[in-house]
Amino acid sequence: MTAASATRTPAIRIEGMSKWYGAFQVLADIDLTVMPGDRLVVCGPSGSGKSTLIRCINRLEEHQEGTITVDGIRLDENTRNIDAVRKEVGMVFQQFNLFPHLTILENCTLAPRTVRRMSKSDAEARAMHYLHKVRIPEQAGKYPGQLSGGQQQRVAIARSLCMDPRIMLFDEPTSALDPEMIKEVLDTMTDLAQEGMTMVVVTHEMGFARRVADRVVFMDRGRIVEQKPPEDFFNAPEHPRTKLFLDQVLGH
Amino acid sequence: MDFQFDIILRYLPDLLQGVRMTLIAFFTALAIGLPIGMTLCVLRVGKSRGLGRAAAVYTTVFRTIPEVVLIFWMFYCLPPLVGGTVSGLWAGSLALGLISGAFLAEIFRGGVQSIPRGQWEAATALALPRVTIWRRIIVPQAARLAIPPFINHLTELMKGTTLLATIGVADLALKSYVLGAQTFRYFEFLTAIALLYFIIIFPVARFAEYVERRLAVATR
Repeated sequence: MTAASATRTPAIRIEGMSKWYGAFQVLADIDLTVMPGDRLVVCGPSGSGKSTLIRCINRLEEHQEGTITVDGIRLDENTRNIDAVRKEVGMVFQQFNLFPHLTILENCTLAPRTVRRMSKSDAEARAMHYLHKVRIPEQAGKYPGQLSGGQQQRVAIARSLCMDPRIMLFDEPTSALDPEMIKEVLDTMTDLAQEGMTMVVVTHEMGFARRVADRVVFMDRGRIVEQKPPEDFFNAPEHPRTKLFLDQVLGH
Repeated sequence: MDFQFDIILRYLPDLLQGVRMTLIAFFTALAIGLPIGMTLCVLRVGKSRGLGRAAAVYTTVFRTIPEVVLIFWMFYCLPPLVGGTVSGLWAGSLALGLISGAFLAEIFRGGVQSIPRGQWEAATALALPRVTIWRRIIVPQAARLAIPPFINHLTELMKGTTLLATIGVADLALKSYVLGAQTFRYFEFLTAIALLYFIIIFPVARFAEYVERRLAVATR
C-alpha cells in the first residue's frame, strides 16, 4: 500500500472484479477507485454492464471474482458487512421504485425508523428537511401514484438521503422520465454534488456529465475502456469505441 | 308433491347442530391451512433452493390428492400409525387443512410474485431487514391481489367440509341425510341444507366482491 492511499480510505475500491450470468461474462476485470467527494459518471452502450457494476456496489448483484471494498468494508458473504454497506450507500433507480401503498412521508421515514431506530418525530423532521431540499415538501401526504415522474424521482432521492448515506448511486435516474422532467431531477442531483456528496451516476445525460462529473468512466462489453476528466473524455477520447459512442449520443 | 315446511322447523335445532359442526370443521381446517400456506409461500419465494423445492413438492402432492381420499386416509390409516384414536372431526379437518395449505400457498405466491422486483430492490438498498420488507412492503401490496382468490378459496373450503359426512362427522350434510332417512322427507331436508349452505356462503361471497371493489378503488 502506498503512503497516499493509506492516508484516506477510498469511498469505493474495486479490484479485479468479474461477474458472470451463467456462462456469460457481464463484468470483466473491473478496477475502479472512488474517493470521498468524487462525482463519477459511468456511461456506455446498453448491455455494457454499467448498471450491473453499480448494483454490485450495494450487492444487489453478487460478483464472483475480485474484491469490492466500500468505505473500508469488504463486500463478501458476510451479511453483517453487506448490511453495513447498504446503510451507507443510497441508491436511486430508473423506475423510482417508491412504495406505492405508503405516503411520500412514510416512504421517507420507514428506513430511518426501522434501520436507524429513529423516533417518529425525528424521522419525520428529517424527511421534511430532505423533501424541502428536493423542493416538494407540499406533497408529503400524497401517495406516489399522485405525483409526476419527476416528482417521484425527487422523492426517491429524498428517501435515500434520509438514511444519511455517504455514497449515492444513481442507476439511469432520468431514463424513464419525460423530457420536461429530466431537468428538475438533474438539478436536484447537481445540488447534491455541490454539497460534496460522493456520487456514482450511470446516465446518458452527457450535459450533466460535462457539468457535474469530475471523472467519466466509459464501459463497453463488461470492461472499463476509458476513464478521464470530462474535458478530456469529450474532447480527446482515445479508444475508437468511445469515439463511436460519443458520435452517436452527441451527434444529433 | 307437498313440501312440508313445518318438518324442517321441527328439526331445525338438529340442523343448526350440523351448522355448528360444519363451522368448527371449517375454522379448524383454516387454522391448519393458513400457517402452512404462509410458510410454503415464504419458502418458495425465499433464497434457499432446497426449501423451495420441498415446498413445491408439498404443494404438488396435496393439490393432486382428492379430498375424500385424504379424509379416509386420515380417518382409517392415521390412528394405527400414531397408536391412538382420531375423531372424525379432527381427521377430516386435518385432511382439509393440509390440502387447503397447498392451495393457499399458491394463492399467496401469486400475490407476492406480482410485486415488481424493484420493490424488493429499493427496500433492500435501504438496508431494511428481511422481516420488515415482508411485513411493510410485500404483504400489504400482495394482499390486495390475493384477497379475492383467497376469499374464493374460503367458499371452496366451506363446501369441502360436506365431505366429512363420508366419515360420519355429523355436519350439516350428514344431519340432513340422516333426518331425511328417518322421516322419509328427503325432499324437505335436502332442500333445507342447500339453503343453509347458501345462507352461510353467500355473505362470504358478497364480502369478497365488496373487498374487491374497495381494493380496486384504493389501488387506483
